[in-house]
Amino acid sequence: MTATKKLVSLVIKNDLAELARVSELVEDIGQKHGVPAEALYAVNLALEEILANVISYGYADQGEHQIIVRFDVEAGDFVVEIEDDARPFNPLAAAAPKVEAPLAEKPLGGLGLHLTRTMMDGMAYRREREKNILTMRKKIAIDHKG
Amino acid sequence: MEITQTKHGDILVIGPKGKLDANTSKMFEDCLIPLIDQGHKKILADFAQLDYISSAGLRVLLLAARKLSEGGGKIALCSLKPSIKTVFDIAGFSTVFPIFATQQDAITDFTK
Repeated sequence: MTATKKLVSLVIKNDLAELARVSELVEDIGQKHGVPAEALYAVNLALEEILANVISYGYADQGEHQIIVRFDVEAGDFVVEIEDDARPFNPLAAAAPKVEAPLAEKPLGGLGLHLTRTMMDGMAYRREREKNILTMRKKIAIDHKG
Repeated sequence: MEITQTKHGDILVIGPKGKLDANTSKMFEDCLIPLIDQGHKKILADFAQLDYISSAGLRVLLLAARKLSEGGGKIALCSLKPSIKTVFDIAGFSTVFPIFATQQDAITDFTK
């Protein structure tokens, strides 16, 4: 069991309209902690891409599900954790799309995960208690070591 | 979301405002694709008022570009904010979409 203290958490339903609540909270936390705009953009994008995937493709049934999103700001990182009871899916193991392909062959799928993996500074996935738990980190501290 | 449409000669300028995300991109698609079906061949997406784009928005641009190229048309983009340009770079879109700093630059290129 993890007992990490989290700054704040939000429970959403598996409905794309819920994404607005997530981004509002990200903006709130960002403002409170002085998170740079580029880092906030990355966190917003990562949450949207992962949650939209879970909501659109994760569930075999049509029922209502709860997704827990936890937020923390620690050690110079903006940390977000998504916990869902959708089918097992490890976003780190998904194949990278051929982003250098010409227009006609450019993939429509997989771009969101590619953007997320590139824009986040750290991602960790585990399957626990029949849940997907994805932790993502984005650096927000200025690195003086250059 | 609000999407402005203006015409400069035969160039149609589309200006989405705010966010192109998993929720609003459908609206963008429902605006853009019919315009191409109606025969518009030169489309400029002006992102001066756009603050955010995710893969959902990129998907619509890709669909529009493919549809246009099949019919001998063309789409260009202008006035991308730095974070949006970063997303385009990572997605490999900067190499297939003509991107201009200003609307005037894009219009000049279209008309030359």
